[in-house]
Amino acid sequence: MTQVVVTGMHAISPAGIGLGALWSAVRDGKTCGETIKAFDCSQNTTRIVAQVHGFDVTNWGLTPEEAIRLDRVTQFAIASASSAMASAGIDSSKINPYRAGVCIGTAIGGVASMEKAFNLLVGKTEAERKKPKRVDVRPDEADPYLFDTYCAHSVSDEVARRHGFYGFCSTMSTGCTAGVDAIGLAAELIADGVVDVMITGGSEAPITPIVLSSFDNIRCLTRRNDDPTRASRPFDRDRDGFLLAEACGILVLESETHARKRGAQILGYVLGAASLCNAYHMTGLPADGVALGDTLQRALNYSRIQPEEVDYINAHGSSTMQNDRNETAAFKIAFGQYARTVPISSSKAVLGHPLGAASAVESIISLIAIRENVAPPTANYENADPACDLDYIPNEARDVPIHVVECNASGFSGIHSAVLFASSEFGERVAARGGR
Amino acid sequence: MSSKRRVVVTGLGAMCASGIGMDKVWDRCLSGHNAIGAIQRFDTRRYGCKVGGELEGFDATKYVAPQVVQQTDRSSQMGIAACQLAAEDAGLVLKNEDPNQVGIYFSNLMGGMEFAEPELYAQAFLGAGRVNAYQAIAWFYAAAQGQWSIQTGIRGHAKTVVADRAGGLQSVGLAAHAIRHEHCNVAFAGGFEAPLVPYAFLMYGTTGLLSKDTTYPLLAYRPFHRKRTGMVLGEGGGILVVEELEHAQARKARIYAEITGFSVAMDAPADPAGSGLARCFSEALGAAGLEPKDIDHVNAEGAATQADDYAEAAALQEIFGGTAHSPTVSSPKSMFGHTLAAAGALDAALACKMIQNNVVLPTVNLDEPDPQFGNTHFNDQVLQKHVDAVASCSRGKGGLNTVVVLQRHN
Repeated sequence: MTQVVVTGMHAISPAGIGLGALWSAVRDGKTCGETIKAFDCSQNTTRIVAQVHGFDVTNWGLTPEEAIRLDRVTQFAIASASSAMASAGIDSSKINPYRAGVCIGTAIGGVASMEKAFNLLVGKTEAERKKPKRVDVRPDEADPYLFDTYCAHSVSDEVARRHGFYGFCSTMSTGCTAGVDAIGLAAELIADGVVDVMITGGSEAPITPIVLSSFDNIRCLTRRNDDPTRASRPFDRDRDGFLLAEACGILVLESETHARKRGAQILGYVLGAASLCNAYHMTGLPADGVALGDTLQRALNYSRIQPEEVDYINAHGSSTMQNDRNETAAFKIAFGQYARTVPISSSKAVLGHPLGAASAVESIISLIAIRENVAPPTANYENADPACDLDYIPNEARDVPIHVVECNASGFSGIHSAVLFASSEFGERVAARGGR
Repeated sequence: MSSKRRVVVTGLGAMCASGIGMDKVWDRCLSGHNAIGAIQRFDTRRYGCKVGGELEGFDATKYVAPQVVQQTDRSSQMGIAACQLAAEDAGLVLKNEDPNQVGIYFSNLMGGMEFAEPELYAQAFLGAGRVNAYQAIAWFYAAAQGQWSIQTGIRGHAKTVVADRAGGLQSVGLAAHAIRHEHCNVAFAGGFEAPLVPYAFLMYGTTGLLSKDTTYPLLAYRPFHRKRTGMVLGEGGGILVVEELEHAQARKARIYAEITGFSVAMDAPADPAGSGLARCFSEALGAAGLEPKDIDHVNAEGAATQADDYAEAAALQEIFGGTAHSPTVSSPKSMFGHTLAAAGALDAALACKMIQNNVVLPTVNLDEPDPQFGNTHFNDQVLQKHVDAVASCSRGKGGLNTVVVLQRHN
């Protein structure tokens, strides 16, 4: 069966544009939380986020028309995909465009533009203090590209057209697991021989009033408004919710044969991915960790990896009590005694939680950890939670040989997903194990 | 599709303007009933298009627990209801199944806009604190898969994709893909859509695809007609129970059809019109091990715009034109409206019924097929004929194509 390798990647995150900025912030625990300045959130209980600065669309070859027509979530994906393709050294004109595809994940797509347009097009009803059953809008004043700006398929579709990738195209929209789910599907399509190359990953730009308010009102966000850089604190006793963020992480995946034929540098192998649901609650998580534990075991099986071969875990670590306990229990189920030994950390202390982009960016961090042989820390970790008693790499990065990383995500709708990456050398050894 | 595992369809759940339940939808379509009419759910005076296929008589509380009705959008409710209808039709007793081996593959395009619209209003005019907390779980694309999983205890591999109008058919193909990859043994696959609310309808209208010639609602949607004027939207949900063959046989399930081919391919702007769709047909047929002459019927997208139908017809001509046994081609959605992400799933469900009954459904309003579409056999009447293989296609914006091949299982 065809092996799947990573040959290019790029990220846009609150830490900055590009992999250098991402890695140095994550490795050194330079946290990115800050007060919202983009809009008035004085009525919200949470008023902090982690956001991308210095993203200028004109630097990325987007036309002024595209700067208006495309939502920030799609602009992120286009910019990041261009850089990831450049880093992979793929010349679009030299590959078979019909065997190249795109599958990028996003939880909510172009909601920011949709909300902005709504506010311009909606009329205030007479009964001001009541929500109308049906809103009154003015279709004749709508911009002609509004549908494309809003709908999530544009994230993958626009990237595909830009690179002339005319094979598979779909946007994965499984909420907060969308990034790894997209990577998992992309890898399987390559393994099946349907395509040779896939642009995959996740993009999210959710910092907009309606999104802040809906998360705020469901009480899942951190309310540490006075201390934004210490607000996201995964696995710490005093965490109080996740820090909403925006980001994008794009990976170029290829069949090993295709990559070797063109002499590409192989950044790592995608060993396998798995996903299950907990059927428990739309937003809550069970403390038992069984569904995530099953997911991790499946991912290990698909990947032909023994638990003890995993050198580092990049955890979901969303900085909610429910997640951190569910996840800790799951690691114990899947890794047994070894769960107490394997170094685990969450990058969300630094970057916050960019929903569907989170696990894509964290997959990239996992691959850099393999390259650098450095396990990045969990920043803001000060006080242990007795229910979370594993090695979360508190605050200081650790030099350790890393060949295999497990990266997982959990999200609303009760979805759990996991993917395993290996170094180039170790990936070849796993390939030789045969099977799948 | 490398694995040897074979995938079959064993249950169908459908609802659209034609009715609620697969049998009702099938009977209505067999009678050539056109369910499109003037939109009643909101005031359409300011809109260019004033017609649609409304789902009437849908009582969500028959399928969804009262507290869940409050936290879900109409589109999710239609999806959950279609799942229940499909499970009943399949005779699938979920408590007898390993919950980790039951998957969900959904698609939706507009999101939960009926729920979201008053909340957007609240955020704009009433204050952040007035936004319903359920907005966080009602609008987003993966809402329905979570609710269906929680309602039933299903814990398997579950994914939601967004791929414009091709999403529903992609979900069916991806379910087959996932079963072959041993992510699950049985799955609920399809899509659902509720675009007939003011702001969603406004947004979709900006595509310019909707028919504005709606003086006579029954004549507004005319795919492949010489005087076609664009698409008409409908509400609906289509879900298929898709199952690994041996699993279906072990529980003695009725098998409607086998899913033997699946492909996704995009039109390249530099290539001739419709060549991406032609490639998509060709790849899906290749995966199924079939020749064009083996296909008895094609379910066409039938967007009914000048350019979309032209491109689609060109692809049909390239792949199926000139074969001795050229298939019939129709767009049954002309009878109940284009249900966006539900459309491809409804088409696949109807394809199963065509195979079961050896009957093909028509495109209505096709008294004058566009003469530039060559000798493709667009049937405008119900035809009794041997139907062993159907190729169902969906086409999103700019030629985001998906084809699924369904065959009689022997």
